[in-house]
Amino acid sequence: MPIRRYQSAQSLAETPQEIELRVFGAVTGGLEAAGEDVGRRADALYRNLRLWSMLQTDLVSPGNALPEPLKHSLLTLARFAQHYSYRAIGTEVPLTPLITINRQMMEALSAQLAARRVTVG
Amino acid sequence: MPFSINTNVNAMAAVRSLNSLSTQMEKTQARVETGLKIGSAKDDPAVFAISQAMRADIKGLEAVKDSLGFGKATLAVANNAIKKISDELAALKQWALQGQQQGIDKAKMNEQISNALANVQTYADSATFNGVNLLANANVPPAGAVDFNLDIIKDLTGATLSVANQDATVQGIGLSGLKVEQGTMTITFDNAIAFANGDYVELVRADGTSVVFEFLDALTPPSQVPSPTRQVLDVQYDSGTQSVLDGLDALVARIRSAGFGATVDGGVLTISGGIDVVASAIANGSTVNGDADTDPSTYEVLGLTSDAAANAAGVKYYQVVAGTPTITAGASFGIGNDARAAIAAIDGAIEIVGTKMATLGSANRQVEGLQEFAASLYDSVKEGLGALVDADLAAESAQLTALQTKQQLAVQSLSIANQTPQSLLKLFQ
Repeated sequence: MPIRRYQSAQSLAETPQEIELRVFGAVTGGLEAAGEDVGRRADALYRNLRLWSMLQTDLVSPGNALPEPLKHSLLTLARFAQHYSYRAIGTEVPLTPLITINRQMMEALSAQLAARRVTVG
Repeated sequence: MPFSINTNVNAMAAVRSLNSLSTQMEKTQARVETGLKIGSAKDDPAVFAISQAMRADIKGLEAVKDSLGFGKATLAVANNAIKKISDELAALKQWALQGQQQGIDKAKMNEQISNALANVQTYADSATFNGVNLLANANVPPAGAVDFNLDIIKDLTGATLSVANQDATVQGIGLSGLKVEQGTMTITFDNAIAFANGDYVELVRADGTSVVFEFLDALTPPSQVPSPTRQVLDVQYDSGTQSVLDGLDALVARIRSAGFGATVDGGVLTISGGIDVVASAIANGSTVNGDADTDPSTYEVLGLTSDAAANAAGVKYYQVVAGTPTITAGASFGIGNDARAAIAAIDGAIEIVGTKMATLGSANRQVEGLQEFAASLYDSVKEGLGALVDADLAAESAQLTALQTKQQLAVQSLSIANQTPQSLLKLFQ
């Protein structure tokens, strides 16, 4: 499967920030594009739920090297994002709170990448 | 604001929300500080690290969360689609009623009915969430659907909440080939009729599959043998305590529950579903249009249809077979064309969809009931974290937390899931 091999090569070349940015981008784009369609909303929310669930799992693992106060904030957000996503499935509550949170994370990750480029360059 | 002439509504709203924001900010700040205090405790540097036992559970917890989210999404999609199907049936009934009027263009009416049925089919077939479709017919799987029932893992022991398939396709609700003028088959029961344990009515579809409705009291097991193509359903009836009319009502209800149209009026049982205009009855042992009366020892009427597609899924003929001679002695058979039969078929379908909706609704409520449990899963790591994770953050507070988090995260050189960043790519699989 050449495409798969290309994809895995690509993800190996990606920095963790780039991977996270890409995943956040896809999930957040899904939330923004979901509109009122029940199926698309359910799909987007389910993906968001899984994303934050995975982030949470990593954050509580002993090897996660972020400073603890930041972990605390992120875990609080993870909790909120998952709970809100779960409750929002099958309802019409606005998805903006989830979108805003994800966008903030993306901005932070972009800033990290920009700083890195400056350092490297 | 001396320069303001007009009241600036937007500005006032902004000030109001700013006030509430700063209150929220203080609150959030206080919470974060509490967290910091605990987080910086020197004697417990591993306050965020979870215990070994919990680490083993983490993967399991993620699977449960995943499954709960998946289950809720699948049910939301199915519930939404079945509501639309129910609405479509209401419109369908209206058209069928109008179709009874004289001077109505029947062809046009039939076209409208067939459009409505196509919609029903589309709603059922497209109610797929990630490969699971609770409304489709497993034997005729729509594109993209691979599973037709739902198992939700609801705790760490692996206990599941199962939701069975609720086939709401046109065939599943007994409306295949519905026309304004609907062919019917009737069984007329005379005064001599009595139902005994083991008496049954068998409806045979043109594809060879059949459904047996067997009269049984609560203590008697079915005598008819089911097979993959022959479904046996009990008609609960106790001849000792119930009247013959009770028996007929029970039979009609059961026939409807299996997806056929059925009504009873003055001892005449009318069955419809998938039958176009009936051409003729077939006498015992004879053959009409290549359809033979298969068993001369039983009473049998063939429903002939001009619509091959409808015939394939609809009722081809019914047999009345008596475990004892009680049914056959008191019954006679007929065929007819009747606009009311279409309405009866739709009423039957509405009843079936109602039952299916109730089943899905109750499954949904069960999943909602697991919400609290799900919430506790999001705090699944609480033991390892002390009381650091704020329990019920309002959306506004979450926004503030997000803003602060952004600033903290932006100056780091680490991503969020910095331990196994690749694992996030699972989302794309």
